[in-house]
Amino acid sequence: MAIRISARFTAQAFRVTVALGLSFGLGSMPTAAVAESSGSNALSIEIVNIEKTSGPLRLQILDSEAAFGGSGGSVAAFIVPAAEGSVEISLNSLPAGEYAIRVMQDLNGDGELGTNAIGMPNEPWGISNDAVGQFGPPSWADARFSLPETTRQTITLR
Amino acid sequence: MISRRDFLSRIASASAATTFGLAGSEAFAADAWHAGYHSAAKQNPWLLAYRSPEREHFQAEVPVEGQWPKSLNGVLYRNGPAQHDVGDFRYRHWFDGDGLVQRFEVKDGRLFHVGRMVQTAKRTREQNLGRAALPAFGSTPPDGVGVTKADDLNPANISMLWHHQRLLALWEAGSPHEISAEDLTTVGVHSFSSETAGLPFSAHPRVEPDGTLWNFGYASGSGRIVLWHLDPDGRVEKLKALPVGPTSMPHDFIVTGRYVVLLLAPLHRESDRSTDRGFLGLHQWHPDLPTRVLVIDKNRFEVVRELELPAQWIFHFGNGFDDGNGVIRFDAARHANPDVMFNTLSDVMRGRWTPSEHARWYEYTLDLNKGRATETLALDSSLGVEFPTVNGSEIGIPHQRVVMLSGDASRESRPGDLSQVSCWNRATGKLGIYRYPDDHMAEEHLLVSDPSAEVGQGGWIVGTALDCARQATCLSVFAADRLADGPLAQATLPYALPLGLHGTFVPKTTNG
Repeated sequence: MAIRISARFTAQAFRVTVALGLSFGLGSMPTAAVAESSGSNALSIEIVNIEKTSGPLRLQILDSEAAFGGSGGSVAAFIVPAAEGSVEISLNSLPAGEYAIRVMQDLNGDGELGTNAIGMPNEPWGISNDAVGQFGPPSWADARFSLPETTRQTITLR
Repeated sequence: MISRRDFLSRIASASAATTFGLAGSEAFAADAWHAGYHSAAKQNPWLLAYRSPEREHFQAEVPVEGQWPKSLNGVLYRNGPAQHDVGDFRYRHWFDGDGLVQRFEVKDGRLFHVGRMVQTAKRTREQNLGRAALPAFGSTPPDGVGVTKADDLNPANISMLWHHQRLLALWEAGSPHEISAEDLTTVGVHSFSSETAGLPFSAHPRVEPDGTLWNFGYASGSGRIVLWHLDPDGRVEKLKALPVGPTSMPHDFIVTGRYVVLLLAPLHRESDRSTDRGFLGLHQWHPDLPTRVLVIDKNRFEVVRELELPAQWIFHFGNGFDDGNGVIRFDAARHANPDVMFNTLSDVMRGRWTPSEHARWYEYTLDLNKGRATETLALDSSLGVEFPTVNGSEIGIPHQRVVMLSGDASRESRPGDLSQVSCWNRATGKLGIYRYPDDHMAEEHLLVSDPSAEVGQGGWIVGTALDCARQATCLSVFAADRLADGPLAQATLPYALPLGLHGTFVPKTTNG
């Protein structure tokens, strides 16, 4: 595995390596491409405003506007347990380039982002740069960041 | 396990429906609209109608002149946009400002009035920031803050509903706010159930005489319209999110014995970002496209027929009913286009009057058997109309009378044009009109039943008007069938209130 993921809880040190493909869909996860990547850039991701610990956090790292727009796979997708307040995740070995992150908390454990009748999430979610749209979805331009220039992303669950 | 595409599309549709934020390309040190309004207001008395209130809370007790009907007991609740300036930022549209709810009650020859700003999450957030920061219906303040759901920018500023012993201040793209019926303090956002929390609930629900409530709400970002059916106790009987794209922004709708009817004007949402005109700025008018008429089975919430009418813009309907054999009739104040919303009701905010064509009173027939929708001008075209209301006991059944504001539509529109109160009796063809004195700007007037009179006869018309010369708001009551005789009684408050939108009259018997 080229990418090592560690998750450090605010209360207790915790280290976990997560196999790719565990989370948002197994079918099209480009694990091979990731496994072959040989970058060496570090990125710390802090997920904040975690109000409940009853469901795991599901994260996706995306590296293109197309992937962010829903076509194409993610660079990495993984699941980490939630802790009250915040969770910190350290990634190493990412190639230089542009990325965006999506995270959701799967409170009911169904593997899906729960939504109401009009598609509005009723489970917590967040996007890199804390991007939000105006009257529509956040754009790639709002959510993207560059490695190695960026070393840290703090994402607020909403 | 959810696919990535699914996850994204869910986030995206969620955001599209209700995520707002990061606004504001319109950066400037001084707000030209703010300066424009306040400068023009010194010269033009009618601009008092769009002045922000100077305080959070109004309270007054004044004598009633004339004879207030003894059997007319109840409370008139009203709502409307009021906080038109936030700091130095002036909203770009009449529909943007935070809601001011009001309570008018006459007891023993005196009018007791209370007015209070609705303390929404939006208002609290902007008060904490000390500036306008949230995008609005027709404005995009600079340096906007992030928002993730419609209720984050809900100004609770359109209408009032009294239902299952609760007083609710309504917007149209988010939740109702519960308001204390006595002192008008804000209780908070009201959810009818946990599953339906945050879903859009329009400002024009239709309540049948038994308390059954029907409503809709547009979630245009998700291309859906929510249909609501509540029982008399406010419980959700059924709910449906109907896919309707391309989405419009219907403000009102029709309920008949068997059907719910939605008119979707060709005002299409075509963008997710608006640089300076808020939600309205996402929309494009297509005069060459038809108005879609969705006829929905009331019991199943399924579209049973889609018909077409010419392009037109309707804020408000009178009432609708069907004959049980597939023929639906309804009436409405029909604008040829949404110019009044895009231009007139925006430019007043910078102190300018931009004329637009009046709405006219039309009657419509939908023949489901023949698949035909027809429309007919029902009142003289020289009569401009708006704010139609019918008696609550006639919702969904053939109605006798419609009360509306009217004015002279034979010439270019002017400020305060709709200063006539009109009562159109469909059964007799009689049109009663009372014209307020010059310098008055009339607000919505309501038809209130007299329990001792026959259905469709007698009763009263109750409403408010802003006297721009005396800088005071007044409450008037008329005999519905003798409107031209003028007010039976009138009370004038010691202050002017900004021109509002819609209200409801709650008879004392049901007000507890």
